[in-house]
Amino acid sequence: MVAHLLSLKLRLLRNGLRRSPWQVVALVIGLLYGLGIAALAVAGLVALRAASAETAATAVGLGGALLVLGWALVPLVAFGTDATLDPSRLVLLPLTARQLVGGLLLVGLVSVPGLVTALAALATVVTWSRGPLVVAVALAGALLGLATCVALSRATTTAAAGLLHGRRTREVGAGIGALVVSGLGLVPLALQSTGGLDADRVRRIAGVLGWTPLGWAWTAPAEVALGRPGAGLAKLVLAALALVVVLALWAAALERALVTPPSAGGGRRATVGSASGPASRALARLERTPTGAVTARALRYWRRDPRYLTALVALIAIPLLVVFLGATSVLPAGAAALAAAPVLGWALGWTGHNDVAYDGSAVWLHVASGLPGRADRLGRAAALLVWAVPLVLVAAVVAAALSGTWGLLPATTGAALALLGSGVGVSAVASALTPYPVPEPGANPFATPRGAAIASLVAQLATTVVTGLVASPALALLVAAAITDRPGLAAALAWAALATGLVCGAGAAVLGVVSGGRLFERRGPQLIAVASR
Amino acid sequence: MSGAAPVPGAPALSLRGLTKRFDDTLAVDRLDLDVPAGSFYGLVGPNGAGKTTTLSMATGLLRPDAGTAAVLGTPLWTGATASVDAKRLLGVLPDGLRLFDRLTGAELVRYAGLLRGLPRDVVEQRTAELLAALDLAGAADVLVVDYSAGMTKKVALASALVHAPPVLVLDEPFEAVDPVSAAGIRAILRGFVAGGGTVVLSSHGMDLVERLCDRVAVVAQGRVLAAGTIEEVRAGASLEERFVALVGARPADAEALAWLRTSSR
Repeated sequence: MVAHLLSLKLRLLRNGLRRSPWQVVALVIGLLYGLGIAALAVAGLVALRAASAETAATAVGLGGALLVLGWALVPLVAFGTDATLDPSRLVLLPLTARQLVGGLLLVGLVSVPGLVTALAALATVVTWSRGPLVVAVALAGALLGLATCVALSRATTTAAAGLLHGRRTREVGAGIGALVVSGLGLVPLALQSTGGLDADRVRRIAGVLGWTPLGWAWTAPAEVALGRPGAGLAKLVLAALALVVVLALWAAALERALVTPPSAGGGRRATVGSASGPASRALARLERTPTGAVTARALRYWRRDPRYLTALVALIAIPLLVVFLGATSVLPAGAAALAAAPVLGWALGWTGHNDVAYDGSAVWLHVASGLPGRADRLGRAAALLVWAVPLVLVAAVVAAALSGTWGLLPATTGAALALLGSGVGVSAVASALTPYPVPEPGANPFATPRGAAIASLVAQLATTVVTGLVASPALALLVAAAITDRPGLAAALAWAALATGLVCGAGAAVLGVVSGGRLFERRGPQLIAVASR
Repeated sequence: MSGAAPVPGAPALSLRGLTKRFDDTLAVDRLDLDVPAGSFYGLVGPNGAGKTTTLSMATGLLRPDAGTAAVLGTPLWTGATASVDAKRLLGVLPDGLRLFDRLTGAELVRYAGLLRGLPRDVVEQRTAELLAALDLAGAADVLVVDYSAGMTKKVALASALVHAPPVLVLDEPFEAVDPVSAAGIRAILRGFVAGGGTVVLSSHGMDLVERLCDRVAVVAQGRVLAAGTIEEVRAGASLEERFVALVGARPADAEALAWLRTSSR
């Protein structure tokens, strides 16, 4: 059974690679990247062998706990999980959820993150090669920890997808997700405000984490090495129990997912009052021209399609994380406040960079209608700008009020609008030029289609960088205004940043819409082909 | 609507040398076909014959490797982009492509009309009439994703009709549609042809094509094997017999799949 699923996964991978040379390139890049990280981790863990048992315990315990947390939460907000073996395709086979869980656990290891984690987990055995019993416990702990990581990522995404079934719960869930993730971003801030981190404090935190489910498997050998074999074996038993619980939760979530095919209405036929509510009336007012119709359609999708919601949560959460981490570690507090609005503008402007792929093959309607490419591009851009511009402005004002840097408000506003506008422009071109696969409408929004994880990473990186480059004049003026110590010059630079930002942003958006429109018209058939592959 | 005027006397659809290759498979092989204006044209062929590929290339959804297509005399594939003027003349119901199914039925039909540049009040009125005619008025405010397969076909047909095109190209319009709804669709299409429009549809149902269409083309392996009026093509036999003879029937092997017989266990 397990061997069957594993060979199926490998065969799907091989056939996918055979079909598209880009998938090979993407896989190689991903492997190089992953092996680089793995090499660093392994080197560090091997070096820890020479360190004292206390130091090694702290480092491995903290790293392990972060790893487990990462496997549990990152797929929810960022990359999703590999959906090569989507359980819903196996639903007709006479298999129980429990049988599936065993096979899919092993299949989950056959991925770049799985490989990196496996290498790092095995390297902890080297760290703890300090006697036969320690090695044995370390090996068992590494295997338990590894299995827990993979199982946890599947359990959280399967359960979250199940919870996101009804529209109502979906909205609430997305909100809670955003709060949790941004709450995590506040942890370093809290540490900072209560006296910062010193070696002693880190050791105590690691000690506490070691007695939570996050750390049981990773700190069991440390207990043995420190002369507490009883505690070590207890942690090993607890880790095994934790794995069993996670597997059971995953099996339960899977069981439910297999008999509840994903759909928008959550099983019932949801009637959407077309003329009811002020929002629907406002959308109806937009529907006078083809462009307005595209905007209204896109706004309806933002509300009704969970894939947009999860993308949005990730987009709001990631800049928040960046700002909070920056605020607490590297940058002075004022700089983080200055960065808030520009980072938000950057993230929001970039949301449309794969917009056409989210339509799936439904984009045929635009192509068959002979819709001018410009109307398509402009309609989609407007659906974003209509709420993103006010949001960015509010963020700039709030950040200025919190940090008391009113003088720099024009500069942060300018930089934020430049990034938003250039993001819209770059997206208008990129979504017609390089669509990459996303989950099908109605599919698990946390799943990454086969072979898409790394392709999406490359496209995301490229569009992000280009957006930053286009907006760089306004960014440079913002930095200059922030670091100069002559107030008169700072004010002049700030207003110059606003003017430059408006010109950059508007110019990039218009240019992107026009050239993206031409691309869309020319590449219409290719876009349908990519989506229906 | 400049330049979209039909050329008098031109065929509704004229395909010349259409060719499409997917990797190692030649899906459509130098296919020629003329659909006279005002005809009710059936396209039949076995699975994988290239019907969907042909209709996609004839409607601007798939770029041919070679060959041309013209709608009422207006060339479709000109230069880098497919001609908007030709697309205006077409109403399209593709097979195997998604719809914007997070819209309600009414929103989807309205969207299709607005994308075609129709004024808002015209779209509003036609949407209501189309949904009523297709027996979807009760489900107008239900998301299309929650529709049954047959209802989805019907709402897609409404989206293809909303801008009143002179030529309708329908890929498998009767698939998954129940007999009552099918009768309704047939009545609408007959009325459309009686009013001077042209319908091209693909189907597996020989009976249906024989009853509904006045002309038929048999397609296999990307080529037209026979085309003309129903009488010409069937040449005295039934359409199904002629189809099997043209495509080449494989005699059933009595010994094959013996293990499938429950009594032999």
